[in-house]
Amino acid sequence: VTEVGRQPWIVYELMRTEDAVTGADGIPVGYATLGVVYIALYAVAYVLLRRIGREGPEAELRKATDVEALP
Amino acid sequence: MLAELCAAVLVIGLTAYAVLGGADFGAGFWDLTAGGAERGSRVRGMVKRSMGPVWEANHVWLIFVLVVMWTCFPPAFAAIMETLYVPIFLAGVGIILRGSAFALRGEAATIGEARWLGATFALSSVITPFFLAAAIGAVAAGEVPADGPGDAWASWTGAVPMLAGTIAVVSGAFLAAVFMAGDSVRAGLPDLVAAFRARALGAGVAAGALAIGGLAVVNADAPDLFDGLTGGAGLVAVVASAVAGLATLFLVWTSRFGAARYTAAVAVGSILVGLGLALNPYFLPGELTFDQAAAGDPTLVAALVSVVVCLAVIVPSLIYLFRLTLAGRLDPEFHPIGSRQEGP
Repeated sequence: VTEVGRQPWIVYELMRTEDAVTGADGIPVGYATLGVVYIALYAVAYVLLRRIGREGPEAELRKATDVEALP
Repeated sequence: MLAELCAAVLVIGLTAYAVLGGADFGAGFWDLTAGGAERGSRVRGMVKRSMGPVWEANHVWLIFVLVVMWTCFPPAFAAIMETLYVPIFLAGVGIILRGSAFALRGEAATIGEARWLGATFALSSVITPFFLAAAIGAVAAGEVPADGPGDAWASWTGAVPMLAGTIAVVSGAFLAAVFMAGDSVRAGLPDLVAAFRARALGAGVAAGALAIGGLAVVNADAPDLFDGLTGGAGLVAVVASAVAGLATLFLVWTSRFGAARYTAAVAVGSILVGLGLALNPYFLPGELTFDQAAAGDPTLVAALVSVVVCLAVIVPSLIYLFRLTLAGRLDPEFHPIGSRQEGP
């Protein structure tokens, strides 16, 4: 509602959305790229989390004792 | 006056990012060029050991710079984003991939997976600073028009932006090698001390050559920037950078890595300060001065007050972090990466 309700203003009664939008024309390509990157990240995280889940907590504990903990 | 103060804050933030973030990216560069899995395992292990405690903290400065820029200089921020969205976007993707790959590398179960994640981390460590610096180079070379988007590609693919990108990668590698030579001394690993000493000397000579050769490129492509860098306050910063660079090479040559850490930081940081001084009073050369680009005075005052408050919180914690790190209190154990890839 906050986004739709104040249209056509981006800043209410000060600046119209059409005046605020970027003049750059490659944005759809950029967002598509970003989408692909994030989908790939989801896939990698999913595979790794499943592996950790399958091995159970014991494997993680064993690893933590001989490999330094990562941030 | 307020606008100049905000511009100074912006340049200080950029300088901190170039030194601390640059060293972080440089560590990734040495990971990338360490060689095969077996041969590079000790260098990669040292990279991970050195970066582990500080790597998130170093990227606070990028956020700082962006926030100051869009708060204090909105028209300049809009113009830069409209024209240079391609390199900035690529740098953004590099930042995402770099962080993810570095964090996930510890979970890799096979050497193939570790290689993929390692390569992603190392490659994005080179891509990110290259495109960020190319964007800065494009601004400094006057490729960004104040009104309406400039050419999305030609604006940042000229000689000066490409030079800036290359210098950023090489100087980051130089900083990282100097820092990690010191870390290797602390860890008591003489083979790695020798390896990073050689890398520091090589990268230092390369960075110096690029800077000197680069001045000729700047003279040809962006004469106004050249005049700024070779006269007045800009010249002072350039000379300071050259002197600090030579001092670093001497200190590294004589294996005094503790002092070299600081001279190397001055050598790299002075370049950014010099750039700011050379551009002054312009933000976008010939188009927009800092004064014209500045937001209203109340905004600038509010921004400066928040900067002071935020620095009062961040700087002591960062100093504490670096003191703990340099005293060896946060050093993780050293493990070569790649030679020891057991299944879990």
